Amino acid sequence: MNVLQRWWIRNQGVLLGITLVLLAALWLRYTQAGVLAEAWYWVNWPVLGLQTVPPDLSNNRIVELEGQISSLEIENRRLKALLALPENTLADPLAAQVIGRDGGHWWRYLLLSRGSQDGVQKGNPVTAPGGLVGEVIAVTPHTSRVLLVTDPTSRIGVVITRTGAMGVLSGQFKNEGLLELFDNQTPLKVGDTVVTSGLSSRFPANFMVGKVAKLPENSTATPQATVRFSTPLDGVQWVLIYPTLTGKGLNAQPLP
Amino acid sequence: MLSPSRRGSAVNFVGTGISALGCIWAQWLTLPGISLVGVTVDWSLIWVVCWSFERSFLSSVAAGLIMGLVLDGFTSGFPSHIPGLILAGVITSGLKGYRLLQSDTLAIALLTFGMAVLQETSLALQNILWSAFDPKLIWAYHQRVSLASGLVSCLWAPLVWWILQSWWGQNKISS
Repeated sequence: MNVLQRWWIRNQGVLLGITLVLLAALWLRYTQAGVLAEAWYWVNWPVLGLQTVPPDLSNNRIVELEGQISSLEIENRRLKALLALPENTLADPLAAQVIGRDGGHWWRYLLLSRGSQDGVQKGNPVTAPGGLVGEVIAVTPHTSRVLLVTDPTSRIGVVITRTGAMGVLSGQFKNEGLLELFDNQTPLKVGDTVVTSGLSSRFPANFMVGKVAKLPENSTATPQATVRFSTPLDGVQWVLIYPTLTGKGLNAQPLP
Repeated sequence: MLSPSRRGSAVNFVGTGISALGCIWAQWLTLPGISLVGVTVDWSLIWVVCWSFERSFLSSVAAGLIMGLVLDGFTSGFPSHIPGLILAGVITSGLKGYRLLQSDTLAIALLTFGMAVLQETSLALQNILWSAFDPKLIWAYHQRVSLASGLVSCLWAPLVWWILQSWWGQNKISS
């Protein structure tokens, strides 16, 4: 008893300290370390002010294609009006800077400089020049965390534009994902364009995702292919968040 | 007013906490020279190794658990950082009696390499056991990542050790 008592007197300070820090760590764990993300935003704040608008990456070819798209959009809108189909216009996106990326290698996420104060919500889609980047999974007042399409837990409903075939694209840690199609009617080709399907309520339709890069040598039970993501996710510095698009897929769209 | 020794230990506590937070934040930093084939330095693992180097079993376990909990907050919590970091702390503190190397810095670098490989293996094993992934894909990825993480972390470990050592050494003298 005496020994125990002496041990307690000698170590109570240390044990008390450990318990306090442990409680703080548990709190951080269950609040998804939002406080640390917020603090990191303010550490980065002086640097964020240096560049307030995203760099213009367009060249002559892109300007030409944008012109073509806008005329097609007008035509599309007129045809939809004739058929009395619901309008599917995108809200104005919010430009955000990347202030952190995961240092671990078993997760793929980014930390952005916009949060709930700018209207960002959990589930908002995020894009960058090139196409889809991922989905917002956690928000603090000034920051938001994005699960990248390359994360192994990310699964996106996609469509092959050439054939209209639907499938699911899952992340594989690297810049390529695994596409599994639901049916095997039209064979895939290398170079086929893959876009979001909009049938799931997670992402709006027709966001560019990537291109088919490789087909398996042996045919498998479910038709599969490797898709290369069109956004270079390793070096991305600026992204666009679509704040009002949570759950606005085709399913959530009310018919007129 | 706190007595000088109490004040000294409070300063020590706050400084240690800030260094741990610094290692967690550094995880988000990408600078040229701190990554190898896309794998960055595992700063929090280096911190746990430095902390456990001259400390008891209990405080090494506590450090691994606390660091692991905070890091899990940043990610989805699966796979968890906790088992790998606790193991790293326990092994580092357990090797106290077997110092074969004269230089602490070299020992820290070697230990960090080993513990980084251990941590990556723990994460890969959790992925193999409890996720729907193809074990072959995970294993191939693990080999690349663990080697890169070990190499790049052990290069930077002496710097962290030097900073932490001078901080802890200074506080020991003043108290």
